[in-house]
Amino acid sequence: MNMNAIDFFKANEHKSTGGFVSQAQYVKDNWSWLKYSYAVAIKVRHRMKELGITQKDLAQRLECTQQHISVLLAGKANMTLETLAKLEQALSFDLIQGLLEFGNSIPDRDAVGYLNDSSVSGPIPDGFKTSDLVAGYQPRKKKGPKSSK
Amino acid sequence: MRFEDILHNGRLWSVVYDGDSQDILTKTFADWLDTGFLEEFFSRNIKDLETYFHITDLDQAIYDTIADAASLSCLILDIRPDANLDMLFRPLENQRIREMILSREKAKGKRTTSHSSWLRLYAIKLEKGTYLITGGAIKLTHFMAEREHTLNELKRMEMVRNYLLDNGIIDADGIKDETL
Repeated sequence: MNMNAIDFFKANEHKSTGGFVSQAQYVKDNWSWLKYSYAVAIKVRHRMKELGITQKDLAQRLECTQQHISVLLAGKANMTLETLAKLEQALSFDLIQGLLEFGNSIPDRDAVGYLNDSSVSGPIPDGFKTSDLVAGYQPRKKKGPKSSK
Repeated sequence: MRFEDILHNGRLWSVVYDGDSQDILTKTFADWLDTGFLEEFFSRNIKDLETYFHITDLDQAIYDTIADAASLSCLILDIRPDANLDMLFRPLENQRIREMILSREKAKGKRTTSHSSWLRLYAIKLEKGTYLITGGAIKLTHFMAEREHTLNELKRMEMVRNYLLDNGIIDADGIKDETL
């Protein structure tokens, strides 16, 4: 017997707390600093590999818990300048230089940017307005021509 | 197998595989935002990164993935309840010319400044605008069958599709229409 898919899904539904929506909302709300936190994590991981040191070693050098290092290396830590300076010192490398450029290397993109890209979703149908698709979407003002690098 | 209503409007569902506590969409994005997972993944697949994308900087690959995953997750989050999800997904087979029942679909990230996105979400289309996410992958090669992790996504899509068919699910309305 054929069955309605939605009814079937509801009969076998899994309800989670803290699922995709809360995860995505957190990233969205905190991306302004998360992007730097991720960049720090990547650079610190790279340096640790070069030096061959473990999370435990780094925790000892920074006089903090291994749990704190784990959060830091996951790119989830909202670090102070003091922490950044301690990391530079503990790992003997220049962390901050180039960090801003690295953190900003990917422009902020919005939903409309994705959906306007025919390589992603195929051509936009005639008459379709991307503003209809995303709640609260306001077209960005162009800032003028990009400088060539 | 269970199912999570991602946007709480019955239009975008995600599979919760047996033994998992999280749905596959949440798990996939958690991986894509995990520096440890990405470091390990790109270390294992560095040759593909070089061959197909001409990228040798592992750190940049990790960062691009995180930034792209963040953008893609925001896109899904911001889709309005009445929005057309068909704008996000497209047929898995680039050359598909006719509609099929419970078709396999994909969504991909946006091209970055330097390369195409390698992020893919895989789904089964239940009907126009209604999808079931079966998984996701970082696709570095031209064909999914070329690497184990993408081949596994193909197998998973087929397994879920067969599971739905075995349970009498044909489309969102339960209507079998061979002329689709």
